[in-house]
Amino acid sequence: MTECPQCGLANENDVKNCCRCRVNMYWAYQHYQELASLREAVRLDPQPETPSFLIDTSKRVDEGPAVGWLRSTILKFGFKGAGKKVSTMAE
Amino acid sequence: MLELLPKVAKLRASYALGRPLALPMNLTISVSYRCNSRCKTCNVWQRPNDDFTLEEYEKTFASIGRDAYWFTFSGGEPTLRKDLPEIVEAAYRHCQPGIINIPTNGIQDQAIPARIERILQVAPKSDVIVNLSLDGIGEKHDIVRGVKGNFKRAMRTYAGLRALKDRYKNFTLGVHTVISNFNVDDFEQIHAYVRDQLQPDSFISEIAEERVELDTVGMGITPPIERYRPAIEQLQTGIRNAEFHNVSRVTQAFRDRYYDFVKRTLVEKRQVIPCLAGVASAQIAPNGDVWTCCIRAESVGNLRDHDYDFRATWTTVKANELRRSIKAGECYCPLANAAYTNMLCHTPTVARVAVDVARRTVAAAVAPGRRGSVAGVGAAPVVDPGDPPARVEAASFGNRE
Repeated sequence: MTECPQCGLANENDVKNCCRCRVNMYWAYQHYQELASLREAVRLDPQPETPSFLIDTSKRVDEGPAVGWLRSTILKFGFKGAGKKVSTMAE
Repeated sequence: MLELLPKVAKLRASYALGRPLALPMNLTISVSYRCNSRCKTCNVWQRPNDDFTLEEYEKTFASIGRDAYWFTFSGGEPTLRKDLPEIVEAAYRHCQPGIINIPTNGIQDQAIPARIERILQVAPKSDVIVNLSLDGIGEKHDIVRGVKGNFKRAMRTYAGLRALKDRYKNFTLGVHTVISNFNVDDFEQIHAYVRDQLQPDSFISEIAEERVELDTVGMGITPPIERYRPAIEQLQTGIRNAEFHNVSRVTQAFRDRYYDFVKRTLVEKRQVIPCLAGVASAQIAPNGDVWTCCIRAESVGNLRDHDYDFRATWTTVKANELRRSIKAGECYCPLANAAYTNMLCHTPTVARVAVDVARRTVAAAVAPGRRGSVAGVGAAPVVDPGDPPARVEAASFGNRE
């Protein structure tokens, strides 16, 4: 199981989006901490108030997988490690 | 643009009735999810590819005919498709759009100007607008967009595109900035750089928003109103203090209104004017799914299942259900693309824009030259991507009257 960096929900290892907060899991492992810090610095809740219609729509229509090569990269290197293989700016 | 008036009347009647009496006047064609950027504000590149072929676009555009006025070819990065000029040519041949809009990340600095030039050649009677994405200056741009060297390449692309302006009168070169929590504090610097160094025909800004299409739902990238307001009002002040000519005066007045709508949407969290997505505007996904908008990205049907007949796809039960939902205010967003069409179909907004334009026209006649002109673009600046913040030599900066 893989924990969502944003809401903490334990998700299956191959999910594209967190089943609860819908955040894209690959993105969350690359950027969530940075964004949460930015939000906290201006006294915003680290977790956004996403409109419910977007959460509902995302759950309803966006269960599809990520592109195959990214899925393989994540399986091989994990959500965090995949960032170094995917972005030229990853640390 | 006057030819739009009867169309607007039909679209407003369609909205009132809840079923389409005409096809949308604003179509976004997402030609591929493939993208060579890795933006912190977008995950569209993660979507699997099942792109329409040129032949499939031919059939689709033939079914749309002359109903659509404004085409946006987006992605992903649309210029990654080598056949983008042929796709645009097919749209031009069948639909004769008044406006063709193409956003680009500017990474392929050789290929992009060449493909855009080909597009300008195949669509001589359309206004072709290319918007280069710029989300920071120098390395900050690279960091937001996840690609080392992106800024330098984007500046080379800009210079290449700028060189086309002398040869193609139907070409508008713009710069586009997405304001997110990652760069909202840098917006003043971006705005100054664009205004003083790049001097494009237009500078537009969109707020980073959570969209199903981009798989950004739940990400919290949208800056709060307290941080967005000062950034965007700086841009609005620039618009209000500048002197525009002809059609630019109208488009800038709409732009100013749009930024007001964004602020109100952030505060009020509702549709501040009726949304005609699903009536006046639509999007076609790379695989042929037809959406009312990219925010919800819910398919009303797939063109492949309807023999590439847009009208048949657009009149499904699902499409009517989505129209009902949108009209009932079950969603809201600051999406620029739909918002401009919504404003055109909203009489109070059009009236306010008309008053604003009339006031500016009178002011310009009474006191010519008092404001800084931004309509006529001066001689092309020579952009040196080697030292981005400072090394731009332009034949004319500042007032370009």
